[in-house]
Amino acid sequence: MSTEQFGVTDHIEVAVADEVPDTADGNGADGGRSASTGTGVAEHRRGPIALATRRLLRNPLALVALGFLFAVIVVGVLAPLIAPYDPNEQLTGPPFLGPFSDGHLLGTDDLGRDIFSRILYGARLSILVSTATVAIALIIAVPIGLSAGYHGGRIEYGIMRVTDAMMSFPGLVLAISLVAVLGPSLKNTMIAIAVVLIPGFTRLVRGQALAIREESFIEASKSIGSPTKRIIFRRVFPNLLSPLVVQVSIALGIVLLAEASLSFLGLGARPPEISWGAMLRQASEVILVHPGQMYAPGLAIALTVLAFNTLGDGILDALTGGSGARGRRGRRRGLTFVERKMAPETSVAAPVDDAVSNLEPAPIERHESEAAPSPMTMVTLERNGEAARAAAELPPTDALLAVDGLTVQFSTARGWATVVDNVSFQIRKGETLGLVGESGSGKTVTSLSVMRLLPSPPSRITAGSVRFDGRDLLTLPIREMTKLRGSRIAMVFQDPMSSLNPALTIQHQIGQVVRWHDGGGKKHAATRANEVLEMVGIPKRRATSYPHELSGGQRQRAMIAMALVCRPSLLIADEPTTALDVTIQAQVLELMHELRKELEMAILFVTHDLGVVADICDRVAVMYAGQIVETAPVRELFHHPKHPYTEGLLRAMPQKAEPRSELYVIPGQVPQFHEFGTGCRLAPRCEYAQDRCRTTPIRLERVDPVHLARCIRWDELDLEAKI
Amino acid sequence: MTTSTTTDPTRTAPPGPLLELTNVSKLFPVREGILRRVRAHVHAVSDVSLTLARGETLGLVGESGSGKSTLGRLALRLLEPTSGRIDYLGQDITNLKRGSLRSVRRNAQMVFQDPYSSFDPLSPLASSVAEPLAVHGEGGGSARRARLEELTRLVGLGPQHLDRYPSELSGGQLQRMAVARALAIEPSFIVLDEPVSSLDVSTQAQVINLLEKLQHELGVAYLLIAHNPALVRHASDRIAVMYLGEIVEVGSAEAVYTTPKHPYTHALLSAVTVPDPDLQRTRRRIVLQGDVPNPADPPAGCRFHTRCPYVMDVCRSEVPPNFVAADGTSVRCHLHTSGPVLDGAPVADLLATSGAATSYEGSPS
Repeated sequence: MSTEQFGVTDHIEVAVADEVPDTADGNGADGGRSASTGTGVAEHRRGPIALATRRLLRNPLALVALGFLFAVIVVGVLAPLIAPYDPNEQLTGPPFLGPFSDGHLLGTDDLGRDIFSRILYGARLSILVSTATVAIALIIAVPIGLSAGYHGGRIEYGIMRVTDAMMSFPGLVLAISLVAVLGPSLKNTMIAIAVVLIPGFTRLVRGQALAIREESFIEASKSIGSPTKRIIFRRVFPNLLSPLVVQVSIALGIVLLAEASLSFLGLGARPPEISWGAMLRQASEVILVHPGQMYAPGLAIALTVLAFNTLGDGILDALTGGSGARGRRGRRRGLTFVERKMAPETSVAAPVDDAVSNLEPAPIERHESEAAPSPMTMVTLERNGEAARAAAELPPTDALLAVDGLTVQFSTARGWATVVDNVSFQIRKGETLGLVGESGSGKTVTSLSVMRLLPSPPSRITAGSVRFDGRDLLTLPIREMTKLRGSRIAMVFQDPMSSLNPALTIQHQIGQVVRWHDGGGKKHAATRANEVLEMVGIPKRRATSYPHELSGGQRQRAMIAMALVCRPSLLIADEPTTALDVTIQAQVLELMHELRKELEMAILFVTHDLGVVADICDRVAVMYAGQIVETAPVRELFHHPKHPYTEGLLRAMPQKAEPRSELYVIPGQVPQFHEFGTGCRLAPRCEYAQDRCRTTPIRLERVDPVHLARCIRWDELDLEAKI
Repeated sequence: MTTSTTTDPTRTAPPGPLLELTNVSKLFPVREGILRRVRAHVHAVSDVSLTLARGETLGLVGESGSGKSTLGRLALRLLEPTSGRIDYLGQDITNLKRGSLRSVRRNAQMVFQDPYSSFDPLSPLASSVAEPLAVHGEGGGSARRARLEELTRLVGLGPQHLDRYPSELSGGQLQRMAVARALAIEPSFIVLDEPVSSLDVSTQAQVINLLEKLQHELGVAYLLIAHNPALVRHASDRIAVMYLGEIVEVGSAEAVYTTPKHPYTHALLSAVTVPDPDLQRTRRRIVLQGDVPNPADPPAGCRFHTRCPYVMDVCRSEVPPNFVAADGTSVRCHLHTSGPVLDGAPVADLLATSGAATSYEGSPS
């Protein structure tokens, strides 16, 4: 199972990022022509830095840490003004006074000095040492790392090997030996700790610079003719700042701790310098008699380091889009959550305002099956079966897979967005159904919902049913679902590289699937794997290859082999040829033609390429903005389309156009989920749209027994003429 | 659309091709081990000769790994060729150093495949689009802003898009911005590296139309790199087909697409799907067996011989000569000069006489 999950999780990230833009800003509507309409939405113009700052300021934990550190700094700076006593003045009271004594908030030490005053002055030194040390390290590490990452010449190569060697020493031991050589003093402590920090910073900066160098925007700057200096300072440096800031925050804590450790050993701050570490050292001498002396400096060190680390975590969360925050709200399950409301709701598409409070709506038929977090998508079902049944074009008994009224929602910044809206379709045994649409149409979400592979949160299924062989997959417990996945229903993804485990041979990965579902020993699994690899045209000698040793076409064939090894009756193929060259695409299509004949397998083929649909599909369902807008047998759809969107897609294909003529363009862009109107969702882009199209919800209408179209004008329009 | 094209240097330049590549090769060293010794060379581009005329579109097709992108970068002198010669407007730019290259950069720009990574995520788009203007010292303050707004209008976007960040625009919109950036300093040619392959069909059409419109208005030449032959045919005047670092066939788009003369071109084109189920299911495609060989160790003789359905003995040992057919297409294949001599006829003619190979009915389109 592990291999499948490997692919699955990867793919979901893609699907979610693709189809549900979290930062739902009003930019989507304007494809240029309708530029003015899109701008009215709102002022959402925010740079990535501003967004990250906002997210950081919304994180209470990070805020507390930030506040605490700010207080430490203020206290340090203002120490001479706030401190009740001179920190070095002896016998301000009797020695070893306990905390909360009269006139001495934290008591006095062995010489009768006021501990509270000393803590305040200690803050001053600790913060100063931390920032100065990190600054020294950065001044040296950043230029070296930048140059090593961006240019990568021989000198830089040498420097990097030296830093590698330095990193193989334990940091504190290295610092102690350095101070021992340089002689104990606060200045030398700072130098020693900085030296320990430099390799880490250098490697971080170099790694980031290497990655940024490969981005197209750097090549763009080069092709523009920008001087290297400009590229490094304006483009590379700002982009590596964010991971650096996280590291700096944590390093500040590390330095504070290291300084305390060295001072504790008597190597750092020495009297009359006051540091928390030095105070600990003094306290440790009398620890058996007066253990209370340790509390104040110990607590000060612990809290400050904790604050630095918490802040670092908070910055990281803020920079990576708050994934941490979302993760905390609820653990992801391997099973899409199902929350089907029994009573039909009036408006399906209307997004609910407050995402968080509506995470758990009230009267619900739950199918979360097992108490422990289970690996599937969550489902909230609502029976608006009337429309769904009208849309069904086959008697339910005939279908291998019958999806009925499927509705999927995603939690976004603007509340629940209905990404798949009341989708129904059927697939017979041995039949290939093409699910066609542009990105954002909901086709991938639909295909993932069938096996409940969408992550919950942020997704949930709120209505409909998915019947496979007569069983509703939405009510299955996780154990049953995992039994089906990979055996009776299998899946092939777009990107074979990220769907295969790079650390295992393909034979091993396919063997795992066999052993999971069919049992049997390793030997049997290997034999089965070889058989099925041979079937897809990968010779035995390549069976023990790792994914990176195979070409793109071979990897996709290996993925198909893995999907087929248990002879599934349904294969869900999500853009299986999109990332491939046309020649390799031809190989894969040929293979799928042969295999489906041989195995009598039904295929749900998700794609945006109508050429591929024409090649392999028996029937087609066209999706637009979360709805099926037309479904028909393949010839019927291509020769007699009844929906303007289908017509537009066909007309936009370059294969059909006169060379060098202007290609047909569907004006505007796919609307975002919060932009759907009450009427036809294509209306703003449709050249045939009338007023009535915009006002009432459009239902799928029956053109003939096997042809459905979601257009009220289907019988008056002559769409065939233009394709 | 109003735009000033008065400063276009190509208008006053001497006659002759805009860009000329002569026997250009590029080898990348493969380093291994701790000492990073060079163990082998990847033959990314081998002995390529090409010309690009003013205002024309030359399409470059081939599978991934064929060296198309490397060739595009060589044409821009983003890479230095290992051997061969590159002339820009009659001037040898093969070994120009950084400073003198800036004048070339001024006239040659690039649009990349992935619109999302083409812009600095931390800068508002205005800053990225203005970069060529800033680098080449053109305009300042309000004049520059006016130029930026003119450019965004030219590519069908509005001035409000300039103040947005890359993450706020769609792929199609960003690709328009990339075109605007490339046009900012009025170059005479642009290398388009898979400019639409990451876009949806309808967005693809928008960007292709935009590029064609701009070519009409500004007379800019394109080197269009793409792996979809149907798209290249639609948008190009001439097509060059690359296989494993070599150009195997180059000619007018019409001739190459409808009467391919190299078996590889033939196979490549037969693999293009047609959005018509009847046509698609009746036409036979030539499914090439196996994968592209390792470019670090290319096959001897004709590089295509390991996958060619018509392979002859001579193909395995001798590099095919360049053959120019009557319609002006030049092709590198022994079929035209030895064995059953095609002598410039399309490969499809061979199928009529030999029963051995897969038959191929109906030409695409």
